[in-house]
Amino acid sequence: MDRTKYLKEVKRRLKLPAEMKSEILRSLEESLDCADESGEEFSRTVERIGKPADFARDIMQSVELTADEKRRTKRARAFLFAFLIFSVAAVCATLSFAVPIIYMKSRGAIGYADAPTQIAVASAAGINAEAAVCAFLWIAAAAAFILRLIAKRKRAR
Amino acid sequence: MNSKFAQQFKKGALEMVLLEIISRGETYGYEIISQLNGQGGRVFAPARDGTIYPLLYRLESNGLISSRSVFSVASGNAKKYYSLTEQGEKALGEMKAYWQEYIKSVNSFVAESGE
Repeated sequence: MDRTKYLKEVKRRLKLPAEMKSEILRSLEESLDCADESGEEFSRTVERIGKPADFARDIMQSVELTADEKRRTKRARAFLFAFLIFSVAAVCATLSFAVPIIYMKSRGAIGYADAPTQIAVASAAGINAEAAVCAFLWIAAAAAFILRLIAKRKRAR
Repeated sequence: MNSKFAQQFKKGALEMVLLEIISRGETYGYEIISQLNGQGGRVFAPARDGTIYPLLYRLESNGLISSRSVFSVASGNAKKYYSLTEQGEKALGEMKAYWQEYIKSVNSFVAESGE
């Protein structure tokens, strides 16, 4: 494990309010710099301060979050999660419209011509089957992604 | 000793020890941990970084210590130097006085007879 991966792993495991988390990570970086400057091998530093999971556990035990800090941490995580879901949904919605249109245009289908045509369509268009399948696939992919993320986070605990 | 009561004893005293180390002169995290490891005996050594950083963060956010960042050419990052605030000096004085009372009182119960 290299330094970048170590920091990333610790960052993922620290469930702290933003300002506290960034200061703890800054301290860790400073300490790694000092250890490096004193000629300590990175593997020896990890032995001394613990693997990322152990280091993060030490922090969480020592920090003793107040009720307000716990609430703020939870709220920030909920916002992040909501933002993630919203982003995935937005991408899905955009693609479920864009992909069928591009696909139909490429096939020169009725109603998807680049220029006005003389063709009259008798019946009103219902649900575009191809667009619906596409949207369904994207939503399923998003759901699978979110479920995997939740499982991964649970495993990390 | 790593039992729960030993950890509880240590936690309370560690804050005072950190303030004492910082009161001796401006210092930074790695140096504080090195001092704890050098002088801490079996009680405070080996000091783990993961235990010390949150305490330093709390001491600073409670106004007992202050810090200034100094850019390090060697690493390209800033190093944070801590010093005691006036409030910290007062708190340390009170802690040390209480600590003396504390050990006197506890010893009156648990110290071996004849001492």
